[in-house]
Amino acid sequence: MRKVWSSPNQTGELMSVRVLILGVGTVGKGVLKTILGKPEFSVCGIASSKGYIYSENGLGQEALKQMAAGKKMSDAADFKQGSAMELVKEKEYDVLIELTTTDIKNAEPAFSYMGEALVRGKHLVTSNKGPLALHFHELDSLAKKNECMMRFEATVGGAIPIFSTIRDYLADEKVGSVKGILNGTTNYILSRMFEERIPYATVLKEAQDRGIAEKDPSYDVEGIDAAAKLAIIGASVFGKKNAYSEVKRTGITHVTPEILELAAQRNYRIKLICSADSKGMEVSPRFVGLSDPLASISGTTNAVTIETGSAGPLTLVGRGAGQNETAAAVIADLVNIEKNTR
Amino acid sequence: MKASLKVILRDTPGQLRKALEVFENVNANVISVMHVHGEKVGDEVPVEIIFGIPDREALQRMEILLRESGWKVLSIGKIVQLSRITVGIIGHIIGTKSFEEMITKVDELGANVCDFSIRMPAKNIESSALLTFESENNECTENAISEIGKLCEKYGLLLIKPVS
Repeated sequence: MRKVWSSPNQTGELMSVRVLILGVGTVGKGVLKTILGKPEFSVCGIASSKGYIYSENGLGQEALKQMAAGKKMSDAADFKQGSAMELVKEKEYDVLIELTTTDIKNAEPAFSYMGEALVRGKHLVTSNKGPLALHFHELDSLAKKNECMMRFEATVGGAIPIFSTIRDYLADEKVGSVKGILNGTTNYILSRMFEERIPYATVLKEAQDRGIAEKDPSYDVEGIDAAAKLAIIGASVFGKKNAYSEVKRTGITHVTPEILELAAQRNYRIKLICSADSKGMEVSPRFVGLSDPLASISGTTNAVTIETGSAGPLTLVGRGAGQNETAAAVIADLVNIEKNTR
Repeated sequence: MKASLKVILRDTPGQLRKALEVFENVNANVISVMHVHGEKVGDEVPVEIIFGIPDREALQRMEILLRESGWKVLSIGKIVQLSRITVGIIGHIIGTKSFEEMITKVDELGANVCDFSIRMPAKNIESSALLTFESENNECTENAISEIGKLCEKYGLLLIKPVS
């Protein structure tokens, strides 16, 4: 594996791992806040859609703190208008943290950023689902060819360590299937419909008022977000080649309070379940028996059950989204790369 | 497969051992033996034996061997363990032949529809229903769910399957 820049400086101390961050939205600010307290990392560049700031020896701590607190990057003295690709392609750094907005139709421009960084031999951490759902194997091949690490824990299940559990803890196990609740918005809506016996449209409005659902909720309620996450699981765990297009997808828009009530009478809950195994991948509302740990997952919480050969089923539960949770997953990946490449 | 045999034995030592000699001939493996003393008549007592046996042919051979040897067989047969599967269906079910076709299809596949519950909140609003069927094995269950799925697609209904 390619080593990060680790030669000692003039005083004999190991140099920090230089990090380039693309995207300074909610997750980006969360990552900045956490990374500031870690001397083993130095942020040498940050880019948004409007421009970037960069310093080969690391950006000033004060400027980064202000940015993490919400100050606009364009107000920084050394802000330059230009494309993030300029940074990715031409500047020096060790790890690219790609946190730009997901595009599930063509995965751009993030896919190009990631590809370019890997071709240059830079390690990659991302929370961006689009490129991995659509092009996992291309990126994975590039990473292997160029001896880089590609980590993507934050793309699925927020703070839940799904991929590191499979990669590290279950390294010697054959994973038979993965199933779970991977979209907090739909789980919130189904939970509220069940608890209050109120129709989908009413709960959706409530979720929008509370900031849990977007104004255009289709990405969540039609299962697109869940399908993208499942595709990443399908590609990385079960080797699916055209993972996203292979996912059978049904959303929750037709689920009624009546079916939730009928199901409850038979000791079932209805959840939007993502399931993947070597045969295929499916996102759809499903009956879950009360003895299944997934049945008790309510609100915006996520959960995943990994079925293994000898270890049996293993269920992980946690917050599936949020600034701190997603940032924690990104930082965990970054630390993992740092430990494995020094 | 699992099977059961109810046979009349004389309530004297060694009778059960003799009867079990037939089991060895057909490669059957005894799981449990129960003497039904409540049904004892004179010195004859019914004994119920649960056992594993390779297939139906072996079970038929066992019955022939037992009868040829003079044992009074009250009953012998495969123990059928039915699993009960419930699916949800949402949409305009009433007024179409969707449900009728589902029952026919499930029946053709060897499963048996045993329960149906429906809620119809108001005219022109989608109904919600539960359809429960009994099935002998996984293959039959999967085929039945697959056929119900095709009919749901045909009639524009949403199918909710059990998680696994």
